[in-house]
Amino acid sequence: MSRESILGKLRKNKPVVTSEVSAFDFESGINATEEFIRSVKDVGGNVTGINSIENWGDWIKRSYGIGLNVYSEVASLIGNYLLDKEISNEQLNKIDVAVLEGEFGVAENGAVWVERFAHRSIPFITQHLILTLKGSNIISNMHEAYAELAEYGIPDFGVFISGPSKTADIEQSLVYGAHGPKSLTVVIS
Amino acid sequence: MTDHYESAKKFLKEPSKVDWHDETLWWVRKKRDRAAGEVDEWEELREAASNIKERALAELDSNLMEFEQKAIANGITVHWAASAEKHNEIISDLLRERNISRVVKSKSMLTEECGLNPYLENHGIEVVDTDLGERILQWKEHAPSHIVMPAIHLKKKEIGKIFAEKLKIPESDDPQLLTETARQHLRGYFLHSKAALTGVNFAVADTGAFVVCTNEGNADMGVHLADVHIASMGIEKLLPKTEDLAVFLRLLARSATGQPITAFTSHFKKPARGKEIHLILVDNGRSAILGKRGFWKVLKCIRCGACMNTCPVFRKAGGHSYHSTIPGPIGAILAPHYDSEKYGSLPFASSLCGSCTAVCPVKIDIDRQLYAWRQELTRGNGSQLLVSLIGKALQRNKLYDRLGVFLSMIQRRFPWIVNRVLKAYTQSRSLPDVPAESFKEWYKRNRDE
Repeated sequence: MSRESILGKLRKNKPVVTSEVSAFDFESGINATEEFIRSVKDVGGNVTGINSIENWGDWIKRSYGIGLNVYSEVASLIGNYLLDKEISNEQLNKIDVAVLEGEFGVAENGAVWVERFAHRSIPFITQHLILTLKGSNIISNMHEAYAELAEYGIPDFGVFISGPSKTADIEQSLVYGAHGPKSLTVVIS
Repeated sequence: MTDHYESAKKFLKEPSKVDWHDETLWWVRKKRDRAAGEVDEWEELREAASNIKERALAELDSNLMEFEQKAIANGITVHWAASAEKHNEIISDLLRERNISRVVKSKSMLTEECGLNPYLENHGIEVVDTDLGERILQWKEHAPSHIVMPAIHLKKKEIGKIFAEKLKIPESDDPQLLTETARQHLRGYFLHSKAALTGVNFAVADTGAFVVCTNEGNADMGVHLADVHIASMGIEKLLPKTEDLAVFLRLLARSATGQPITAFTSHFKKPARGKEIHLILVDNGRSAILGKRGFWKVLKCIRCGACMNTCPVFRKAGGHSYHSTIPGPIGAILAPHYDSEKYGSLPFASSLCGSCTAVCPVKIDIDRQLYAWRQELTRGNGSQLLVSLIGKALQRNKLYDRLGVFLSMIQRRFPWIVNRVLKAYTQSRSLPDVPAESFKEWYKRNRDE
C-alpha cells in the first residue's frame, strides 16, 4: 500500500524542471601518480614503491612487528594466515595485516577501489591494511573512476578506501583506527 | 511552540563552551573552503549537482520504479514506507521474524527522524549505535546536535566521565585512548550481531545499487559480519545514473569536513552468498514537500552539514536549540513542513546573511526559503499587522515625526516599558541613549548657518 500511495503522490506533486542535465565535463590532471601519493599521505595513509621492498616477509616484520597473522590475496606474497572455506567472524577477527589488490587509484582523493576479497569484511576488520596498485592504474578524478566502473560494471560489492579508519568525534581530535584498519599502506608497482 | 530563542539559553549558559563550539565549527568551515579551493571546477560541480538533483526529483516516481526493479533483480528486498511508523514496523517485523533481539547500527539521520531506536527498544530489541559519537550520545541519552559531528556539543572531559561510568575504566580525557577503548568494546558487538542497520547516502536507479559513506568503517563492520543488512533510505536520495555519483562524492566530504572523500565509500549491489539485504524506501512527508512551490528544493539536500558550520546562529546557539532532528539552517526550512506550530520559531533563528546558501553544495536557496517561511508563518497574525502599520507610519511625514517624539519620550521616561517590549534584544545589550534632538530638528536649526 505504501508503494502505491508514495508513487501516486510523487506523480501528482512532482515539479516541472526544464533545465537539461548533461554529462559533467572535466579535465584530467597530468601528474596523476604524484598527486595520488600526496593525497594518500594527506588522508593519513602511507605509500611505498614495490621496488623498495626486497622481501615482503621482512618488510612486514619491520613495518608491523613480529608474530602477526598476515593474510594475503596478492600473488607475490604468501601470507602465514589462511581462512577456511566456511569463514567465521572469529577467524576474520584474528587478521593483523591484510594484503589486498586494488583495482585503481584516484589521484584527487587518494582513494583506491577494491572489489576482490574472500570476505567483504576483510578490508575493515583487519588491524592494518595493505593495498597493492599498478602505477598505470592511477587516474585523475572520480569522473574517470566511474567511467572505469561503468566499463566493467559495478561489482556486487566494492569500496573506495581513502586512508585508514578515522574519527574526530571527541572534540574534533583526529584519531586513526576507529573501527576499521589503524593504518593503510598503498604499495605501487 | 518551543521558541528557539528560549531553548538556546541553556547552551548559552556556558560561555567558554559556546566560544569553543563557535571556533571549532568555524575551523571546519575553513577546512571546507580549503578543500573546495583545491578543485578548479568547484562551482561547475555545484551547478551540476543542483541540476542533477532537480531533474532527479522531477522524475522521482519513474526513477524509483527503475531502481526498485533493478534492486530486486540483484537480490535486494525492497520495502516501501509511507510514514515513520511504517518504517519502524518493517524493521521490527524483519527482526522478530528472525528472532533477532540485538542489532548494531551505523549513523542514519533518517532513523533519528523516524524515532527508530526508542521504537525498537519498546519492542524488546536492543540497538547498539556504533558510530563513536552516537555511542556516546546513546549513553548520555542525548540527541545528535549536528548531523555530521553528532557529539560536537560535548567536551572530552564529559565524554571521559561517561566512558568511566559505562565501561568501568579510569577516567581519561585522551581521545586516542577513549577511541581505542570504544573500538574494543564495540568489536564484540560487531562479531556477534545477526543484523546490522545503516542509512544510505546515495542510491542509483540505473544499477539498483546504493552507497554508504563512513570514516570509521563502522557501517561495513556491522553489515559484513551480520547475516541481515537493513538499509533505511529517504526517497529523495535517489540519483538517476551511476556516473552522477562522481559529482556528489566530490562535493560531499569536502563540504562536510574538508576531506577529499570519506575513508570508506561502499557500494552495495547484491547481498553476499547466504546473506540478505533489505532496503526501505521512506517517504514520511517528502512527497508532500515535493508539491510545495518555492519549498521543494529543500529535498536536494545531501546532509553534509556545511550550512550548520557556517551559520552564526548555529555556531553560537548549538544544535539542540533547534529541537528538531535536522538542526541549523537546513533544519529551519525543513522542520516547519512537519509541524509549523512546533517549529515555527526556527525560520526566525537566522540573520538572513545567506552564508548557508553560499556554501551549500547543491545550491539550495536556504536564505530565500527562510524568508518565505517567515511570510508564511506570520500571515494574518499580529506581527504582520504591526509591520504593515510601521510601513504606513513611515510613509506619512507628520505621523512619523510625532511617533518619533512620542517613542523617544517613552524611552527616556519609562525605559522599563521599552526593555520589556524589546526583551529579546535588551536582556544582553543596552539600547543606545536617546539623542537630545532628532536629526531633522538639528538640520532645521543648522541649515541657515
